[in-house]
Amino acid sequence: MELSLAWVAPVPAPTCGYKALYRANGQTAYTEVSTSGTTATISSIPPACYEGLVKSDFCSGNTATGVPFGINAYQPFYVDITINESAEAVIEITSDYGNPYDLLVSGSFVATANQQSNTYYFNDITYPAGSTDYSEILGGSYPGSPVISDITVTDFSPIFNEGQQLQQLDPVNTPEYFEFFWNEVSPPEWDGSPLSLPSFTLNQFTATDIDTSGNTIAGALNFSYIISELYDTPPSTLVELIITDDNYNTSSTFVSIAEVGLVTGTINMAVTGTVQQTRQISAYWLDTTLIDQRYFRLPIIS
Amino acid sequence: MATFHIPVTCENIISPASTNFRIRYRLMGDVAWTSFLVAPTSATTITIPQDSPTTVLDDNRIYDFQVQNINGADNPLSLISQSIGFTAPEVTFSPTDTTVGVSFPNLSVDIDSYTLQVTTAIDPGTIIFTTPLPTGNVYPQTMTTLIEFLDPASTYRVILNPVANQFTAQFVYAVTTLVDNPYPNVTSLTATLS
Repeated sequence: MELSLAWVAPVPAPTCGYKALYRANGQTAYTEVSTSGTTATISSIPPACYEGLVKSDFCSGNTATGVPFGINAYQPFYVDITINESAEAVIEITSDYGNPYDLLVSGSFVATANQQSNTYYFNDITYPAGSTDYSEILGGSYPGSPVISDITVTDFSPIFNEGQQLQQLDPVNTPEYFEFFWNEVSPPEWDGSPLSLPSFTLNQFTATDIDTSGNTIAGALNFSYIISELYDTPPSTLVELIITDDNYNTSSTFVSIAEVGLVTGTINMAVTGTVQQTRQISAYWLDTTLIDQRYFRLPIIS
Repeated sequence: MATFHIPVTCENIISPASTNFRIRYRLMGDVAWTSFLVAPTSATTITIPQDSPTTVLDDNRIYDFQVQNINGADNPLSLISQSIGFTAPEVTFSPTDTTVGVSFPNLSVDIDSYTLQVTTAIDPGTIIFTTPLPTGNVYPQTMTTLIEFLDPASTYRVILNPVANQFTAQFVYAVTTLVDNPYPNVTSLTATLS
């Protein structure tokens, strides 16, 4: 992938150019690139969400404080349906890059033959992790060389083996992730919820209180996300994240969507039941309007 | 230690003379009361007994109070009065030349929200920034917000109002932004990934 940065020079212009610092989400160290112009292009970087800052350099160690940036790595995938020589439907899923996780794809298409159209459905076709081109026979019988049209993806979801819908394949500092979207030429419009950003990760859960039987009864959940663009006229610049467990106990914190760049936070939460149980995290505007809701499990180091 | 100011009206206070007042209290929402007797007094302040840790009232919690006049018989209890003793949160300010980051701990599960207002030090009557910070009645948690578009090297008054039911208080802090960075930042930074 290629990361392109562009900016407008300040007045007065820096005497020693600019320093662009960038890192993939989850990494601790920045990579620094120096440039004299007002652009920087970082090529051949792995697919991931990136954040960093650009500093004006006035020589002798004198730099501006820096302006942050963040970019979430959405990428499209494409679905095509054809009929093979055995009159079976074949689905082909392609993307420019492989996804770190398997992707389940569901949808429908219309087959028209002999002036008759029928709608057919495919459910939970697995686009394997790392694939950029995958085909699978859907089966069925489609005689008469039908014309395929109206191919529609109705749902897709990554398979995370740690905790359902949130990114947490790795227990701590999940390094890279990019969210697929389909049949689009630009990322879907962000709805203001950090949960809907592909960079939203649950980075670490630390037990802070353990009962006499050794059960964790409270802990601190660290999370992070990258804001690549500011939400258009949000109802508020704060979003409340609320965790709900099976016993309807809740823990929450407020996060900002007011600035681009990396945001980190902690939710101090009570733990009832087991730490492994599935929980739900919800994002609300301050007027209590629900923005987004996902299931997850705590990122436990086993 | 919280101090509560509670107006109460006792029954049958004139005659016969009171022999005792029974004062009872509980955390709002609790069922059980804790009570104790005090002798009639002209004093306007009564200290809740503190002979054990369980009788120490917590700061920033809402309590129910009732007073009963005893003058040969137990008169009816006064209506329940509620009160809360607010304390000032310990606020951490992170100023730059044009912004101030604010964080402080939510002090109690009874506090519904905080309202943060900002004025300049030289014009304390004009509010230039205000924001509600709902707590969701979650405790403990850290409240954060960012005050933007401030002038460099300027002193501001930050007014924090905790709100718990019908109660509120006001705590005022001062913060000064940093001097303007002589090394200006770039503007209109965009990032794309392809």
